[in-house]
Order: sequence, then structure tokens, then C-alpha cells
Amino acid sequence: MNERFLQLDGVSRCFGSGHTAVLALREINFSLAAGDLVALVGPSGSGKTTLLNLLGALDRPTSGSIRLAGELVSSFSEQHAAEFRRQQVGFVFQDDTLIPELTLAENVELPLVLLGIGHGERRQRVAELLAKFGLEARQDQFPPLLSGGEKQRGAVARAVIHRPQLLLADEPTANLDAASALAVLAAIRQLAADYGLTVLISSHDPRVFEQFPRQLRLSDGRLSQAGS
Amino acid sequence: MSFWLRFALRSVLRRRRRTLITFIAVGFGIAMLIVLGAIMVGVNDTMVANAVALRGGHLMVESPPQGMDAAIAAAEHWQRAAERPEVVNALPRCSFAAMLTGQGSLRALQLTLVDPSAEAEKSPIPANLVAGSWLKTEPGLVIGDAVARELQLQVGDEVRIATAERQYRLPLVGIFHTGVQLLDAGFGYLPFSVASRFEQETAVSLTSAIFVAAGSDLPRLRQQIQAAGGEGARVYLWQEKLPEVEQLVKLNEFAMQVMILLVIAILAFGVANSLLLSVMDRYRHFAILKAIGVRPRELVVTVIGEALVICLGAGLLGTLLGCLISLGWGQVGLDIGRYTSFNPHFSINSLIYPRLVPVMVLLPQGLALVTGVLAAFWPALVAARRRVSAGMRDI
Repeated sequence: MNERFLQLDGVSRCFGSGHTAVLALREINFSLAAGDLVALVGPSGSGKTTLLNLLGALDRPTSGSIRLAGELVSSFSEQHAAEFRRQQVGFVFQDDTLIPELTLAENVELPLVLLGIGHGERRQRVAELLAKFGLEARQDQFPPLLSGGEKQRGAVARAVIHRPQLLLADEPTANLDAASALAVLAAIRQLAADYGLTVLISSHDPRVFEQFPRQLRLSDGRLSQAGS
Repeated sequence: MSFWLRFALRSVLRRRRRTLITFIAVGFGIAMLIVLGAIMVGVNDTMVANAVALRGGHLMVESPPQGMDAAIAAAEHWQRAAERPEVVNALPRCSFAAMLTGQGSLRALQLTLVDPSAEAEKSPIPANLVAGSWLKTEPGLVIGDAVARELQLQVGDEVRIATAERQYRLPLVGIFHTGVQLLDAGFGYLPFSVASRFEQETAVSLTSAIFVAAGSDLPRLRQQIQAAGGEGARVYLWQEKLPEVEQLVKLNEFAMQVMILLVIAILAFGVANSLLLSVMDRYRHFAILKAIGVRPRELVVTVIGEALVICLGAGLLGTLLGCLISLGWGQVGLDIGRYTSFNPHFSINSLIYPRLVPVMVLLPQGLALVTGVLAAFWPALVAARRRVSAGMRDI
């Protein structure tokens, strides 16, 4: 495997300036190979979400560089970053992540719409993926009518429908019961295996990170431990 | 339906209460503007109809003074020249200046020779007699009540008429009151049959009146009649002879345009406010959309699409409502006499019929759409510019 599929060199992120400046990430260095499944572990406020935002080109580091498949993500313009996200990245957030105006199927279809894929192919890929997640019977429901587990599985489906290279999940099981959490994690692991995804999942829940072979531990903005 | 239009439509429908309030505000505003516009057009119609009926028609044929026979022949000639499908009535008229003598006092007057039966069909003078009766073919004179009062004349009195050439005597058969001082104190009417009593040398001008069907192209008709009639007289548009009425019409239109702009501006603030609240409610969802890869300009299009859905939907319903009210009101009319009883432009008829004209129907709808979209830009930019990481913190 290519250990340098994702490479971070000296990445720091500071919010604010002067006396009110907060250094959320300090000199982060690590690299991942394509297909890696990594848990980003750490307490609340340790910088997990900030790091995921930087990796997904939702934010830019104050210093340092981030490369994904050879591209310098940290220097993308906003336009380029949007293109990068719609093609290369899938996001799963903590909760309330499905767009309430769209049905479950339309939410999952959204990344394909952005990529300009035709209606017929979109419908087919959505149907296949929802069937894989056991959600085919719920595809025409709007998010408020779905359970928490169904919403998160739908969010995972939306994150991978366009076959991204990188899946970033920010505490995706935080508000789920144990059974739903395990179902979501199983779905992520299965998809990673099927599609060869590189997965970075943040959590402070041992049920989550114990299932991932490699863990990156963040504490007070520093990568304090990289273990497996 | 495209994905984004469906998304905009659902976003609008999902916030039913807020959308309904905005919808009612925009729709009601547009409906009322259309009704007000129709009333304005109806007021102008009545004002112009009153003015042209009293003062000489939609088109007026005038010539320099000439001899009595020549003027009467010219009146007949121009009546034939005006025979066209759009012309409803062509009233031959010849006018000359004279002095009227009453109980020891004199009054200068413009006397007009008319065809009594033709005038009775169209002119408001026969319908506004306060004493006596309208002219017949027999010799007689009809004057305004202001003159009659000043000269202390009553129906049945013999009136002495002095021209530059000599004096004549005619019985006063009727007295009219129009409420227009210029007419009541300055005009008198005689039948053509008495023309032979006057000297040939009397200086008589052609002042024929032409009334046309509503919606006729007056400038084109004027050209056609002028071409058919020749150079002996000139055909005028009512706007040229009654500039004060045209100014009032334009003043009404200007006031209406200002009102439309004011109402539309208020509606635009309402739409902007509603959309801004809607955007602020959805910071998190917009952040998720951006995280998925939606570009800022696509978010702008989405929010503007919501404004379009609101303004187009409410505009169409408002237009329909406004048209229905205006059409219904146009059938029964509206008497504004209570507010115009001392206004000379409404003295003979104060009943107005609200009328729809395309520009007054389309303008409010069009402006609402344009300003609605402009008003949506600010909320749209707020949505597009907010950082994803900041948006994800909003719930």
C-alpha cells in the first residue's frame, strides 16, 4: 500500500488572534495508506473535528501542509475545495445530517446530482446502496420520520454513493444506542472493504475505536500517540 | 422538475406558517396594486370621457374663421371624412362669437351651431338641462345657467344676439348646468336651421367633434381623417386641446407608479426578512451541503429559487385575485360622486368602471419577481459565505 496516500506535515490550526488566540492543532504529522481504517481518538475539545475539517478541505491550516493522492489540499481555493469534496471525500457528521427537505433516497442521491450523473444511473446506484444498508423500504421517507440509526446509515450511504477515496466520519455514533452504533460501524467497515476506502473516524467511545486496527490519539491539539 | 427547483419548492413548503404569511403579504399586495391600478384607469377613463364629451370629442376638427355657408359646408365635408369603423359619432359644429343681451346687461359668449338630434345622442348638454328643453329644428337657444343668472334670463324669454354684423332675436328654450364654469358661463347652442338667419359675413369657425370607440389608435385615426379631409381644417387630439386633463391623467399614473414602487419595496423587505430567517434556521444544513460539495453559487441559486417560488406563486395568485376583483367591480362600477361633487372633471358623470390594462396587471407581478430575487441576494450571500465549520456548530 502507498503509505503516503494522505500526508500531513507540521499542520497547525489557530483560531482568533492576540490574547484570544486558541491553538486547536499543533504540529500534526502523520500519513495514511490508501484503504487504511483509522480511529481518531481523544476527549472533547482535543481537536478531532478541526483535524477532520482540515482533511476534508472545509478549513485551511494556519501552517503546514496536507496532501491527498499527491494534491496539496491545504492550498485549495474555495472553488477547488468544493470540487475536491464532491469527488474525493465523503463526510458523515454527528447527527441531524440529512437534509430535511429531501427524502432519504434524494439525500443519498445528492452527491451524484452534484457530479452531473444521469437520472437513471442515479436511481439505480441509490437503490443498490440502500438495499445494502437495509433501507430500501424507507427510501421515500423524509428524515424526521426515520430513526436515529436509519438517519446515520443514510448519511453513510450518502457519503459513499459517489465512491470517494476518503471517508471522514465525525463522531457518527455519538447519539445512537449500542445496536444502532454497531450497525453503522459495520456498514462503514463493509463499505471500506468493498470500495477500498480510506476511513478516518473520530470518536471518544471505546466501542468505536476498538473496532479499528489503527488509532491516532489527539490530546490538547497534539498527536500524542499513534498506535494500533 | 429539476432537483434544485424541487429542493427550493420543498424548502418553501416545509416552513408552511412563515411561507403562508409571506405568500399572503406578496399575493395580497399584488392583488391590491392591480385593483388600485384598475381603479386609477377607471378614474382616468371617466375623467377623459367627461372632458371630451363636454369639450369637443376625442378628435376635434378646427378651422380658421370663414363665412357662414363655407363653415357649414366644411362641417358636412369633415363629417363625411370622419366616416370610419372606429368613429362612433361625428358631430358637426360651427362656432362664432356673439354678445347676449339680457335684463340691461351684456355677456360675450361662444355660440355653437349644432345638429340637435345628433347632439342628443352623444353630448352631455341635452342631458344636463335644468330648465326648458333641448333644441329642435325650430329656432331657439340653449345657454348655461351662469349666463342665464347673470343676464336674468328665463326659458321663454327672447334673447338679443349681437354679432359684428347685426343683431338677432331668438327664444331661450333651455338652460343647462354642467358644473364646468367655462361652459356654464361661456357657451350657448343653436340649431343649424337658424344659420340662414345670420349674415354670410359672420366669422364662423369649424369646431366639429369626433367620438371614437374605446381602444382606438387616436394618432393613426387623426392622420387618416386629416388625409381624407384635406388642408382646410386641422384635426386635433383631445390631449392637444385639453392639456390640463392629460396632465391629470399623467399625474394619476405617476402617483400610481410611486405607490407600486413603495408597496413592492415593502414586500421586498418582507421577502428578504422571511428568507433571512429561513437561512439562519438552516445554517447547519447549508454547511452540510457545502461539505458534500455544493458550491457557494449553487447555494445562492437555491435561496434565490425559494424567492422565485414565493414571488411567482404568490404573484400569480395575487394577479388572479386582483383581476377577478377588478373585473367584477368593472361590471357594477363605483360612484365616486361623494368625493368629486365640486370637481368639474366629474360633474356630469362620477361613476367609474375599474378597467384592467396589461401594463397595470403585469407591472406589479414583474416588479415583485425582480425585487423578490434582488431581496433574496442578501440572505443567499449570508448562506453562501458562512464557513462550513461555523455552520456545523449551529443547530
